[in-house]
Amino acid sequence: MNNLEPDVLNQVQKGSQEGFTQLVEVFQRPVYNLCYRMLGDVDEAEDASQETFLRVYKNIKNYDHKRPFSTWLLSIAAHHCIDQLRKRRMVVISMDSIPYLDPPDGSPGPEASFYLMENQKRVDTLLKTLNPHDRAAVIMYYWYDFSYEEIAQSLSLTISAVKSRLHRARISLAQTWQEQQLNNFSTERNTHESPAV
Amino acid sequence: MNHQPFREWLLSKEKLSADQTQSLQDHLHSCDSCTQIKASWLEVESVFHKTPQVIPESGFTARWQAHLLKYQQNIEKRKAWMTIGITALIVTILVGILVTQVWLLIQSPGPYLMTWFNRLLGLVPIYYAFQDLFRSLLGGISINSFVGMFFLVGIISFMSVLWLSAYRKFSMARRFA
Repeated sequence: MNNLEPDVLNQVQKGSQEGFTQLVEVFQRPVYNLCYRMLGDVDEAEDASQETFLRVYKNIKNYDHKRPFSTWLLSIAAHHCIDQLRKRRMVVISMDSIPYLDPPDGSPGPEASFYLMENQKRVDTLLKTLNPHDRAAVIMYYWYDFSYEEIAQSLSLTISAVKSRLHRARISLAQTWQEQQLNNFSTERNTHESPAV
Repeated sequence: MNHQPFREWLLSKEKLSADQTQSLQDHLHSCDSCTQIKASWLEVESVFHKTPQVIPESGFTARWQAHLLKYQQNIEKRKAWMTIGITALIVTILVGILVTQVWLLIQSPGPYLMTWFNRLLGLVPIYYAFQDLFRSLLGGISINSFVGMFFLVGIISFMSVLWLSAYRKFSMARRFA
């Protein structure tokens, strides 16, 4: 993940507006990605990212330099998203809103784009089956390469709690995947089978 | 069939010992459920690794700046309303006191003025008592010069604070040009 120069962080802590703009430029992608993976909706992810930066702006003086800035920032984003998920609980989010993807190989062809979109939908569906804390742990582990310690620090959990949450999430994700495959298979069979006359 | 601790080993990123690996392989040969879980998990992990980061719509920083400006304006507005509210409260209390006093004066001006005159006279013994107290405490310094010095120091301190805060306010860089 991109890192900010310590000088810029010092300036930001002293109230530099330009420094903060630079910080937003550098961290907008990881923050937005985390919010999108947590909330599964483009508009909500945008609002949550903006709110995260506002919270950072208000609390920047409390930031402790001993801790990596990215961990602190993503911890604020994750906690905000967990709160949002708890608030909305029963609200159903539309799956039609597809975010902008950042493909690793520049501009992919139509087939690769389609494949990316399909993967995107699968990931969204899978992540939605997890509870907010497990979801945050999985996202931090697989998209940010956070260590168990960093995840524990970010989500205010113990290391053993993180390990057990990740284990539980992996089993749940594998089982959901199996169910999805079975559903897809039966749907395809029904489509191709000719009706008995 | 008991799937523990094999499921944990199967999904764990931690390195297994040779014995653990062997017993896991033995278990997988005889357990379809764990084999399926393993296969599914590998597919899920592969999908996770192939899915890139999502990025915000362009102009995120500009939208953030607008968001911040709105937040700061709201703070200013809240401060202004709070000042107006406190001022209105103080004015209401003062007007209430004034109206009560004027009402008493209109109702019975003679006794009212006498009461206030008596109250003022009541302050004279208190003044003398203080003067005696200060004379015994501070020796030759009279209460008048002490009160004068007290006010002088007070005014100088107040002016210094005012001057410093004004200097700080004008010398600070503006957040928005």
